Parts: sequence; C-alpha cells; structure tokens
Amino acid sequence: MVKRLLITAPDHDTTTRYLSAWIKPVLELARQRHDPVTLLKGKQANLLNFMGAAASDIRFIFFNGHGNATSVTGYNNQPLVTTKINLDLLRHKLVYALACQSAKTLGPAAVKQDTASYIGYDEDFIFVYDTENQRHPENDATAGLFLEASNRVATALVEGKTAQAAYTESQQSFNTNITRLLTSESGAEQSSLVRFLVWDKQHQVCLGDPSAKV
Amino acid sequence: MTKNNQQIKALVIARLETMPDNFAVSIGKQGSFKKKELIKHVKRADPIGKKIMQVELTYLRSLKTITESSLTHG
Repeated sequence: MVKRLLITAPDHDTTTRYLSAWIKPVLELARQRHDPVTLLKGKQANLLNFMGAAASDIRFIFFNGHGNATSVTGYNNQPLVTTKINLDLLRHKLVYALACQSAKTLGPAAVKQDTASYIGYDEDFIFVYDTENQRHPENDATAGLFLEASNRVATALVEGKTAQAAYTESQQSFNTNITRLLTSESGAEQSSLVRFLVWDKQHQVCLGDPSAKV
Repeated sequence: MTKNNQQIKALVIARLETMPDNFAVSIGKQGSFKKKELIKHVKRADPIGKKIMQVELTYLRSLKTITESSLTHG
C-alpha cells in the first residue's frame, strides 16, 4: 500500500535550518521504500501550500518548525495548524511535530478531532549545537545527539511501526545517548549536554491511538 | 530569593561553565544562546534563565532513574 508523507522543513533561522538538515535520513528512507513524499522546504512551508498538500491523501505529517502550546508554524513562523484552524486537516492522520510545546494543547485537541496519533513535545524542544559546524548542520554530531533521537519517531513510522513503537524507539535512542554521555569516556564538556537530552526525552509524548500505523 | 534557589542557581551556573565556548543552546523561537549569554540569563532569573534552571531541576530529579538505567544497560 502506498503511504503518502508530508514533511515541512522551513529554514528561516538557525534552529529551523538544523531541523531541516536532519530530515535527510527520513527522506532517504521514504524514497528507498518508494513512499511518495511531499516536501515543503524553506519558503514552500507556508499556509497555502500546507493546506493544499494536507487536504490530499496524506497519511503521515512530519512537522519541523517552531510552535507553541496551540500551534505549529512554518516559514517565518506562519501558523500552519492551530487549535482554531486546519485541525480538521489532521483527521485520521499520524503526526509527528518536532516543534516546541504543541503536544500540550494542540496535540490533545487534534486527537479529540480524530487525528489518529500525535507525537510531539509538551514543552520547548531544546538542543545543543556546535557553532563551528553551523554552516553544515547535517555534519554536526552534537546536534545529532538530539535530532537523531528525536527523528527516530519519523523513521520508525515510515518503517511501518506503530505510534507506540516509534515513540518507544525514540525514547530508547535518547536513553542511549544519555548513557553514552554519562560514561567515563566523555568529558565534562559532553556530559553538560545530558540535562538537555533528559529534558527533551521527558517532554516527548505520544497521544492518540498507540496502535496507529502509517 | 530562597537559599535553595540560590544554591540551584549556583549549581546551574557551575554546570554551564563546563560547556564549551563554541556550543550554543537552541530554545525554540526564543533563540540560540552561548554559554556566557545563558549564565547572564540565569543570574537575571528572567524567562530564559528560569527555563534553564527548570531543565536542571528536571535533570536532578531524574538522576536516580538515569543511574539505574545506565547500570542496567552498561
């Protein structure tokens, strides 16, 4: 069965450039599996394009961007979905929102309106990056500790796993990175990152039907 | 400020001091901050500073679980 995916990847500031750079493994996996992907990259991640793309037979939406308790945003922080607009576009779909806080209010509201599953964060998603790698975020191993663990949700869902399994794998990925940084092999510099990984892990939530699959 | 808060603030600042100068922390729409900027925010106890202290408190509360998990999984 063909699974249609929608990914938003704005890149108007450092944070969104990092998020957008780290979607590549998800894109690559989808292409290997011949899953059609609609990618709204950069300025394309706007409200009009989102509404057009999401209205089609998309099964999984992977939001990358900023957000707050009631919205996820696209390019230049334009709201794409809020508790008041476009919630119906998430109906029967699986959603992973790599955006601050949206699982606090938007996620539960979406699930109430028949979104199959909503995985996201109920607090700010915080990550650390190496400014010396800023021009090539995809090569930044420091940021990778956060973004690989986070994006395990998306890759697991594309692999056909359930929402619960995807969430669990991401949590395990966070755990692996936390444990690695706490070993004696890592210096104080690397171990300073642990608290931010713990924060993200603890604030990642899985709402809706745990058995939902893309 | 209570003594407890002062101690946590001092702890947070000491932790931040160990971060490399070239690292920056992205906190969503609020922006990205390097070590010295974060320390200023913590000292001011403004929203960013309070967020960083909240992160530290969450970490401290989770230490028992993290230690057990590390021992179990090596």
